[in-house]
Amino acid sequence: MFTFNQKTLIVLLASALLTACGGGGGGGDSSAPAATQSTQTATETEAAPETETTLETASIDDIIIAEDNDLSSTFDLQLQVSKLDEQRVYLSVCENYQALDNGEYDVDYNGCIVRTSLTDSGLDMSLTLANHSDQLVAAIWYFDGNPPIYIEWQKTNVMEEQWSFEI
Amino acid sequence: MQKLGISISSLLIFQAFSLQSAPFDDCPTEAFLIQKPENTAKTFGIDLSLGKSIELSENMNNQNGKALNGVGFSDHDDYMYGWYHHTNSLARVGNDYQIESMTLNKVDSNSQNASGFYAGDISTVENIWFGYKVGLGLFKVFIDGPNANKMEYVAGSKAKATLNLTDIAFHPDFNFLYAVTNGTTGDLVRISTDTGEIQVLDRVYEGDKATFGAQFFDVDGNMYISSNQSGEIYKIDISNPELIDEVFAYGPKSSSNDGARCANAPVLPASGTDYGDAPDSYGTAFEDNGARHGTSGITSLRLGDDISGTDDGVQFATGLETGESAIVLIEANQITSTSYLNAWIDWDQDGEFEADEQVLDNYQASANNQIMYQVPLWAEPGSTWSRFRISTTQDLSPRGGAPDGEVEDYPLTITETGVTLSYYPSASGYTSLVYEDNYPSTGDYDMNDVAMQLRIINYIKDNQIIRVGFEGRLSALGASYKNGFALRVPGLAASKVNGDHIKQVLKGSRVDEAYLESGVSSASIIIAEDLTEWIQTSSGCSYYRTQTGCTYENMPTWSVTVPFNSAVSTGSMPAYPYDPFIFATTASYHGDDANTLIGHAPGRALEIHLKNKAPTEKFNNGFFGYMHDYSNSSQNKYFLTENGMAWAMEVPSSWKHPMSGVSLDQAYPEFIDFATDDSGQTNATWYMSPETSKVFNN
Repeated sequence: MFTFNQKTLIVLLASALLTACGGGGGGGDSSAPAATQSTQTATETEAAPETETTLETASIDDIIIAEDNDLSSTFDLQLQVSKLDEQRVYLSVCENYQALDNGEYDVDYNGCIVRTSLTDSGLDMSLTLANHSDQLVAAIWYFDGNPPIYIEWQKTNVMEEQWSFEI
Repeated sequence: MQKLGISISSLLIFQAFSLQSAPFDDCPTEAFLIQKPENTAKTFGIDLSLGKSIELSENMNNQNGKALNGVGFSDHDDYMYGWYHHTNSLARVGNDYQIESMTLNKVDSNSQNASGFYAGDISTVENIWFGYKVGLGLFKVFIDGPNANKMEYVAGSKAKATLNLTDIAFHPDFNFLYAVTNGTTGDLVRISTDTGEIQVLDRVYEGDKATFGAQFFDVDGNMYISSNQSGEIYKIDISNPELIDEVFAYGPKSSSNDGARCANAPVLPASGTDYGDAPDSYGTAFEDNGARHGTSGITSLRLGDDISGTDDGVQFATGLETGESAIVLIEANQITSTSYLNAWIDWDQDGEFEADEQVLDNYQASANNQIMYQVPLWAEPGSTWSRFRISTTQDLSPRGGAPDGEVEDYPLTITETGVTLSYYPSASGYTSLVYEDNYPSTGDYDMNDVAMQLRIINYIKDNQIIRVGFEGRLSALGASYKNGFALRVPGLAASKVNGDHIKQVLKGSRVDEAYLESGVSSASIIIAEDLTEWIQTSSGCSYYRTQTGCTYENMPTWSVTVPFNSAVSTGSMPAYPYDPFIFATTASYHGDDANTLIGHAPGRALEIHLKNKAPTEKFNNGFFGYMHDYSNSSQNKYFLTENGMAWAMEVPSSWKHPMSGVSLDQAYPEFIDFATDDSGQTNATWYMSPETSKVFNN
């Protein structure tokens, strides 16, 4: 149950929010989503100052982006694997995994980036990774009943990321 | 002492009731099995959809180890009736499961001399028990009415009773008894209740020796027969009987068995049943006798941790290459010494799991299983499905109900030997292509007029790409204009692509919407001419997934496989994500600017690409420099504004796009500093930090 004062606050915040977001253009804005947002905002009494902060920052219409800047959020990682062993080997490079306490890894093989048998000439390929990708695991399986070998890569934030290993 | 007093008094009450026990609930859906292990008659309830049985009565109080057989359920009075060998008479069973022998008036010499019935049922038309025995004929006992307790012989039936039948069952609508004969072959027969004449209808069973001790009907006229030896339950459509080729459910085995069921009850899927999720052709839904398992919460035998939601028990540790070994990891929970894994892979991609496609056959499960198996040489490279089942029941097939365990279905990719699979951004992740479609004028930068999530798969052999796969899902349509979506691979000549064999799947079904566009130099594949046709927005919603509550089922998913006429060197392919673009749908209004420039709706002449990606030859170059466009083809600058802002961007995640009318920088404040630093190093992960209330969360 709301008191009179709480109701008034919701109305005031709702109109402030509509004013702040209303200039985007594009047409067809439904009032329904705005109303939902204002109800959520009403529970947080600090919402109004946040809106002011946004207004002080440069907006997308004010900034200059270099002509050559294609706004890409990815980087390249050069992967080089040399194969010394003659056994058949299968390599998976995956991004979803967990290092376990016992030295093993729990790898989600559904989320891999590379899946390949390794020939004697090894592997040399360029991987394109999202900027938020900062570690990978290589799981190397021999077909002899043993568990795989795992090798991890961590992002170093250098200009040209490289990952080389021998198996 | 007090305890003893209570038990004695309850025993007395119990005995008093047993003389006049109450009926069952009206027409129960479960089937009843009467068995007699170690001479004690017991009643089991069977859920026919799963073959799952529970003991309903541990002792029916049969005397001298004598059996109750030929049991049928009466939908007239909701009691069970069967032939009690101890009294050589009919007996009634109520909801206390105690045998109450009846006194019969056997009116003819055949009846007086008859004994040892194994097969019987209650008519669905009148409350009459019919009993059949080879060499003796057909008999009936009136349960109620003026002839109550009268037993009479069906005249002339003795000479016709030549088949040894172990159970008979009444059809819910026709006044006929049906039965399936026993042995290595089984015939469906129909018995006239007037004459006892037996008509052989069709051969329905061929296989291991089977005694069909329990036979039932459901309200739809389907017959269910249970083999004592295997416990397998088969379903026969009486209107179109065919040779049984699959198990309906895996029930309990028994040396002796008798079944009763209310023929007017439907057989429905049990609540809490676990199903697979492969396409229909594999047998997934209950109606298709899909693989299904009874579950019972956290104590359930299962694959991985989760039994009802996510498939989480199976990992393909290596890829599947034709003619090579492969390794699969299977995690199981709540295993016992009798937990078995069975698995199939549709090697030939014909949409079914066949006998020669079984890769695990009653493999005894541990908690963690590392299993090597062989991919046959004849396996077809491409996308296919696999099915993994765990159960305490052995010999499961790819279809049918099992009382416990779990089924998990996984899509997978088979390749030729030596093929490298390269996924961008990963095999389970997506990158997002987001578009502002008010081009050539700037829009509100909510970047959701079209939002398409995309994954690219390269199949590489000997450093040559042999085909490319694209998988995507439509994440938003926040525009009133209609747009198409296409994938262009700059620098890859259109002639390199085998346009006749492009394969597209949309929302799980094969479609022929995608095609290789003609009249362009670089290969360009049209995925959709009009994306609005993929979705329906809920009423009151102008757009799809840009306003709260405005969604449509799941995001429409699609995949396209593009084969090449000849392999292409990996070095000659452009950087990811190539050049995915949107274009105006033919003959569809796309704003006054385009109309003014061209004189009519622009159609393919209006394309919107990522910043600095050149358009195709179909594009009208008059858009360059028009309105807010600042392209300069001589400097390879395309689709940018005077301020360098783009109409299209790639965001390398399953991105939460801004809500309708909320600009990119309001939803992602870090974007401003990211975009204005040419190095791209400031706020490099800007797209991971939304203002939660300003993006579409769902």
